[in-house]
This record gives sequence, C-alpha cells and structure tokens, in this order.
Amino acid sequence: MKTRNNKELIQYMPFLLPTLILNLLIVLFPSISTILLSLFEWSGFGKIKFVGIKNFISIFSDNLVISAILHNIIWTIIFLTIPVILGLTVAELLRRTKWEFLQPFYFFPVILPTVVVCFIWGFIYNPVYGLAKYLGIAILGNPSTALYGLAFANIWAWWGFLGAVFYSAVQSISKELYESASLDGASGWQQFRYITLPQIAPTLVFMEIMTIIWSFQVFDWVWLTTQGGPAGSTELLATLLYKKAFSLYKVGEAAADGVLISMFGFLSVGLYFYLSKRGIEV
Amino acid sequence: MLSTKNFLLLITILLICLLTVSIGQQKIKITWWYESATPEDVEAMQKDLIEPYIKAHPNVEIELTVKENLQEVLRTAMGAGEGPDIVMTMGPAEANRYAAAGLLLPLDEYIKKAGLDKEIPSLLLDVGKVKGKIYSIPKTIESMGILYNKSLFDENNWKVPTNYKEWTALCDAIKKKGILPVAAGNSGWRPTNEHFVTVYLNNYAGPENVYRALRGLSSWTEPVFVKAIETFKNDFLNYWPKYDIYSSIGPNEFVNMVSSRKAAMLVVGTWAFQWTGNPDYWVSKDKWGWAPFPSLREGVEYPIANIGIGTTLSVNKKSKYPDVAADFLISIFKNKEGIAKLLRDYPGEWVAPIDIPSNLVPPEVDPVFYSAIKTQYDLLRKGKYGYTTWTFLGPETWQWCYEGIEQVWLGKISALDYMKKWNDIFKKELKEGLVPPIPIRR
Repeated sequence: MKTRNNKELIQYMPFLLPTLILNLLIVLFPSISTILLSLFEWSGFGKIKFVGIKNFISIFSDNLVISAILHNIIWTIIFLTIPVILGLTVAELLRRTKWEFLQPFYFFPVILPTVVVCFIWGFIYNPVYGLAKYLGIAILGNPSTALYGLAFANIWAWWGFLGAVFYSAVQSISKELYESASLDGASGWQQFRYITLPQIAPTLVFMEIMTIIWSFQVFDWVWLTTQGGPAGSTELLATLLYKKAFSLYKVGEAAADGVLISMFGFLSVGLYFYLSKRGIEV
Repeated sequence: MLSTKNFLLLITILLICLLTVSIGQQKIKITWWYESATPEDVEAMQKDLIEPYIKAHPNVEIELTVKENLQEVLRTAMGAGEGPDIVMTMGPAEANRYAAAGLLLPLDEYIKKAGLDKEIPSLLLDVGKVKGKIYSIPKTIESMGILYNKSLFDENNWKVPTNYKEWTALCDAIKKKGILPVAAGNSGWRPTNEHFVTVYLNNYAGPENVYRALRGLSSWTEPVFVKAIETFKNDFLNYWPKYDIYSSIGPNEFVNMVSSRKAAMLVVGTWAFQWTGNPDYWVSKDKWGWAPFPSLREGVEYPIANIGIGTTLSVNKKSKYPDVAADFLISIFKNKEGIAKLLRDYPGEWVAPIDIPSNLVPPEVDPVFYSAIKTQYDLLRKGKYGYTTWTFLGPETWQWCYEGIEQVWLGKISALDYMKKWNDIFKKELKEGLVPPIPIRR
C-alpha cells in the first residue's frame, strides 16, 4: 500500500511541482526573509545591523502599535458580527423566498474595486458637498467615528460575498429537514436556529476564521481614505508597517510589524485546527 | 553568375553592414520617473524640456514615465540596484539617503562646468551634499505664504497683514462677516499639517532660532518654539475650519471655498498656483493675491521666505549612460526658456532655483505667481529665508511634526510635550546623520 502511495505521489509530482516552486519563491522565501529582517536594523539600502529582538521590544513599547492593535481588534469584532449577520439573513431569506434575481444587486458592490468604493464613500462622507453635509457630521474627519465610518463602507462592499457563500451552503441542506420541521410546527426562526445554522456551521466557522486573518491584513481601505488619520484614529498595523518601511526607512521594524500581523493569522489557523480536532467539522 | 558560396558571403557582409549601421544609429535611452502628473503636465514637459534637448541631441531618447507612488516604487527599485537614469526624489532628505548608500552620481563636476554653481543659490546646493559632494539639484523651490481672495479683500478694504496684530485683527474682521478666515484640509495628504507648523515656527521663533536648532546648537524645547506652537494652536482653533471638517477636505474643497468666498485665505505654498488657474478649483471670476506670511513676533523680520525644496533631480550611479544623463539633467537648468514656458504650462510645479529673465516669461503666466516666485528668489538671495520642515528635518522628526500637532490641537498633549518629543527624535536623528546638512547662514 505504501509503495503504491509513493508511486502515485511520484506520478502526481510533475503536476504539483510548478505551483509548489511558485509558492516557495513567492510565499515561503519572502516570509522567511521578513522574519530574518525583523531581527536587523536596516534602512532598505546600505549597512544592515543585527539587533536581535530589539525591533520587537520597540514596537511593543510604541503606543502607536498598541493603538493600532486595538483598532485591528475593533475592526475584527465588527466584521465577525455585522456582515455575517447580514449574510446569514439574506441567505435564509433567499432560501425561503427563492428571489434569486436579487443576487446580482447585493453582490454588485463586491465586484467593485476597493479604489472605486473608497471614492464613492469618500463622496458620501464629504462634509462640504456629500450627503454628510445634510447630516451635519464629518464622519471620516472625526476621530470618534472615522474607523466605524470606514468599516461601514467596507461592510457595504463585503457582506454580499458572505451572503453568496452562505446561500451556496444553505442550498446543500436537504429540503426534507425543513419540511419535517414545518410539519412539526417549527417557526421560521426555529428552522433557522436548529436546521440552517448547524448545517452550515462548517462554512460559517471557516468564514469567521478567514475574517480574523483578513481583518489584521486590512490596509487599502485606510490608505485610500484617511492614511491612518485623523489623529491616528484609523491607524492599523498594516498602515504602520507601510509608513515605517517607506517613510521612516525602518525596514527591520516594519518586518517586525509584519511578523506581528502574521502571528494573529497563525492564531486563527491554530484555532481552525483546534476546532477540527474537537470534531467541529470545518 | 555568383556561386552559392559567394552569394552567401555577400548576403552575410550586407547583413553585417546593416547591423553596424543600426547599432550606430541606436539611440541612447535615458529614463526618467516622474511623480503623479496629468497627461497635460507630461505633454508640457515633453514640449518645453525634452524636445529641445532631443533636437540638439538626435541620438538621445528621453523616456518620461509617470509613477503614481513614486517614492515607494523608486525606493524598491533603487534598493534592488535598478531604477531610472534620472532620479527624482521628494527632497534632499530622501536624495541624501540614496547618496549615502552610494546609489547616486556626484554632480559637482557637471554643475561647475555648466556654471550652475554661480546661478543656483549655494544654500540649495549645499543641502544636497553628502560628504562634501553634491548629489542632487533642487527642481522645485517653494515657499509659504497667504493666497487670498483679492476681490473679497478689495471690496472689504482688508489689507494683507505684516505682523501678528494685523493678522489677528484681519482674521477677526473676516470672521465677523461670517466668512472662514483660513480654508485648509489634510484629507489625502496628512502631512499638510506641517505647512502651518513651518510658518509658525519660523515666523514666530525667527529663522535664526530655527537655524540654531537645526544645527543642534539649541534645543527645540526653548520657550520661543513652545510659544510658537501655542500661538498656532490658538489660531488653528479660532481661524481654521473645525478639526473634523479640516480632516475631511482637500484642495478641491478648500480652494473652492476661497474662490467662492466661503473662506478668505489659504496659508499655503507656491504650489497652490497650479490650482488658481484651474477652473475646477478656482471656480469664480474673483481675483487672487499672494503675500508672504506675516511676522508673528516683534523682532522677527518681515518678509521672509520659508524655503522648501519640493523635489530634487539626481543621476543614478547605475545608469548605463551617466554622462548623457548628467548632461540632460544640467541642460534642464540651463534651458531658461523651457523653464519659463513651464511657468505657463505647468504652473506651481517647475519653479527651478534659477533667475528667469522677465523677457523670457510668456505673457500668459499669472503675474501674481511670477511675482511670488521672484519675491521668494530675491528673499533667498538676500538671506531673508526660513526653513521648511519637509526639507530640513529627518524622516522621523518630520513624521512627528505633522502627526503630533494633531494631538496638540485636540488637547491630548501640550505644546511643550510636543516640542519635547520633537527634540528627542531630532537629537537622535542628528546623531545618526539623518538630518540634511544645514548650510551656514549668510
């Protein structure tokens, strides 16, 4: 059996190798370089100096980094809840109504490039000539509301994707379960709570894990709109990393920020495997 | 009748001849990466700068490419040992970094041979020196001032202020009319904050004090700097837009506000002239005026020009044709006619550090703009200049300058705390050689 498996592996290798090599070059080597760079002090050119964990000590004693981590956590909490609720709601409604003609409408913002969405919401939020003028608030200009304003714009362009993913998962649920539940007198909410949710749990858990990973990588939404302002209220780890690398010439510290972002990703992946081992089918 | 052997030999010889001719005619390509520019701007530079050079050097091709995030793209390319032949940076702090890493060609010989050392003020060349050699030439000289709605001022008999008393009196009079005194915003470019820090530091503390602090001869925590920031905070809260509005608007909005009389003035650099002639920004028929920013404390001279170097040009040491690249670079500054035409075709952007005779200036050039740049050049020559933060600070001090001031506006830190942190970061960068060389003040 083992010999047969080895033979099969050798047969499949030519098909796997190109992608594997590409992955090594584009993913693994830069990742290892980043980890190594985080142990050095370097401006990007010229002398490079080994400093050990100094960069990590630096970033953890930097209030800006602590503040950015907090912003990333807030962002994650928002995206673990609101768009998921919206996505589940629309998936359940589509299951019941079969109004699939609505799908292109809620999915349309998903296919728009981030630059376009930022431009649209930049106009909406503009306090001089945008809709915000009539609301009397400058959402992106106020440190208390800027992060939430950005998250709202991102949710607008994101929840449709979750809706499509959840609806796809819902379609694989046997209709007989709902028929039986209906015959037993289960309400709509009870059907959702006791049939839909458990049946799509693997998809739901997977998307939540991915949301955590993606939330710590957010960069474009902030960079295209507020660049971390006003007064650092939308600064995230990725924008700090970018500023350190390209404005401050602190490549080592930027690499340390990158390692920190990756750690949150690893924690999520760890959670994923933990849940798998616990028997939660993900 | 040729035998096959002789026929093949003839063909081979012909091919070799053709190849030799084509190699001989092969043009020398010089690449130049430029920061964000519209197609019209690129066309202007092609017409006014590049075509005259190519006409005189038909074997040279100049390829001008716009790179939207020039700073980041350039850093990556230069760090990899690549990059364009003509290196354009955002100022001496950046250019000097490349020079210190051995990535740029020293330009002293070329500058001296072309006599540019006598044309370009020494301050501007000295700031681009690393270990005594010049590696960059400033392409855009800018200074801060007040751009105001002249029609509005004339109708209300408002005068341009020359001191702090007149400044506050003017702003209060404008406010009484229900008009915002100063329109401004940092949406899209957060470092806008430093423009105002620059004028308050120089025009309150005085250029001599700023000079001493930049050379490490005094501390940035001296009362005169702290008071400058306190004065700025007071003025910002009273005369600038509310903070949340300020953080949400950019040039499209604040230039519009001045032209449509919702606001009276901009405290801005000479780059603003690229907006005044553009009807998408200056939307009314009102006239505009320019004046140096007032002196903010008795004893501080008026007028002064707070000089900034917006961009510099250098030659990549890895260029295949360094002499040709340097020759083209020098020719840009010798081409006074081309530079004069760019005052019309690309206003506010190409303010080269050379004296442009008035007879070369096209009649379509905004006279207010021309007067502003002549004034800044004259003040520089006379030694009546201050120091802009984006030209004369190291990168980390620069970042604190524009990020930290928001904490002061919001009352999160005091002016003293702001200057204390400024001083700490500056001292560290001065020690590490990250502060551009500050030439002796003459």
